[in-house]
Amino acid sequence: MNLEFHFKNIKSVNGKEPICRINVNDYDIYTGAVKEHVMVSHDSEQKNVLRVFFENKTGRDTIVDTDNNIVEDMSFELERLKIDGVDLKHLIWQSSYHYDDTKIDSCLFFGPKGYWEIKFDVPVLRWWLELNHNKNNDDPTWEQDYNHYKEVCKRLDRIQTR
Amino acid sequence: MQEIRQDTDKITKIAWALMTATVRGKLDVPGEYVWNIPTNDEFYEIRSKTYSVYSSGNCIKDMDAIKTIESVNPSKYLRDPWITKKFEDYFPQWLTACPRFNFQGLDDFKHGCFAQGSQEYFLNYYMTNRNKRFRVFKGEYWWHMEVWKKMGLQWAYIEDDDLQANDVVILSFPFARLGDKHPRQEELLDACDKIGVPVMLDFIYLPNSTYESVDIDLRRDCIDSLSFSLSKAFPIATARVALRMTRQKLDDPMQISNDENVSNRIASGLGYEMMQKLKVDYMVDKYKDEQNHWCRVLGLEPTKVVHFALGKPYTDVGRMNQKRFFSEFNDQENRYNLGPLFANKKLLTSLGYYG
Repeated sequence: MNLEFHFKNIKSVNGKEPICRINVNDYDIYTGAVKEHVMVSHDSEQKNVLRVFFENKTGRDTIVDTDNNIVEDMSFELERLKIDGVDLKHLIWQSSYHYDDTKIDSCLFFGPKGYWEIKFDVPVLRWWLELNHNKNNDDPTWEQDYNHYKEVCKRLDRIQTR
Repeated sequence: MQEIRQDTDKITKIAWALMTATVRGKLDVPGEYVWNIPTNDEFYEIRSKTYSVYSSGNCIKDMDAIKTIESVNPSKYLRDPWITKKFEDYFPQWLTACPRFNFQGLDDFKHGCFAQGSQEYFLNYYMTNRNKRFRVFKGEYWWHMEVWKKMGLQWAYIEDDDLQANDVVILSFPFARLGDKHPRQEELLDACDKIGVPVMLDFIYLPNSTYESVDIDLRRDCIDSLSFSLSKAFPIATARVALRMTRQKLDDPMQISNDENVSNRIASGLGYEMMQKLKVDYMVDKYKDEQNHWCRVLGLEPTKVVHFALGKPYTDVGRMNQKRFFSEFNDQENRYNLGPLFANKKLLTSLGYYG
């Protein structure tokens, strides 16, 4: 399984850059600086839990003024995620951010020290189409079209390798 | 009579295959088969393009015809001041050489005028008749209605209002959506004769028509002009090769350009050579059996135009949007263009979809 993250608004404080740890099904697969584009690979299972931890945030990474307004804060945002080439698009919001004992649904902002989590199945496209239809009820032929697509891709792959 | 059972599942799979193969460079004859060419092979990109695979009227991308086109050096015609006239004079000979077409009164339409695609003549027709009301049957070439709407011209479907003295009619034969004569054609022409409503007949699909014998009576007073094109006969639609034929010489922008001898000589030359090298019903001879084959395999009904078949509206199957392509007036979704299937026989055979 290939994971392609796009982060934005990556903010350092006093030269300290945010570090994230990417974890799939309790396996750490990446720990390092948050860059605009991070690509990682890992084996998948039928059901998967993906977590991105904000690894190095401390209280000193949030600078406030005398009125307690935040003037600088080490933080970043998840902008886009592709799994096996499938862009999650709006379904990226079917996720949550966890810190302390708090869970915020549909939050892509990494502010407090915590982790972002999304659950998904593979094949990712099939999961995506089904979830999308279940949410919006606007794609009644998703399964039929998915099957056509898979069949055609398989047949085309076969003639490519001859 | 046993009802034809349409294999929509197979039709859909073939649409997916053609669009995916387009992106992967696997088509037998590369090129666009719809207005929208997929830009990548992701699910949504392919799906949005599969809806329209069968909906165009485009010519069959026949490889031998393409090779013939590529054998022409059209740039030499830029220096031939007679080429447009040669094209205009040769067209009726080429057309009437088909023994299946029995024209009556064609000789009266002695004024040929090169048109840069049928659309150029249509635009000239619109300008000439701009103060009249345009009339077409439902299912006529959508481009007319799209232009009339956008240009604020008056128009109405024939089905929606009686014919009036201030009307002008455009009628395709074979009729665009049906691939055959419109069942009300004679009734309409009778009414036009009676009221004195002029009619333009659009014969764009005639070269591809499969009639064993067809009588085309042009002696009616109401028929004031004929529109012909090579866009469906040969894959040269984007070269814009067409011809208008009228009883009287007109005095519209197209004719003025023609008289000035600044018509498109590249297009005239290409059209002229194509006519000399391939006969008018080249596609019919080559693909009539293929039309029957695919209609049998997919459960469609062959039309009298070799690359068309009729069936249940393909895009109505479970679709909730994107049913019409390019124009709200493009309601030809039960007409299937089989050309992409003809042109990709080898690919579809390899994929197991031919039989």
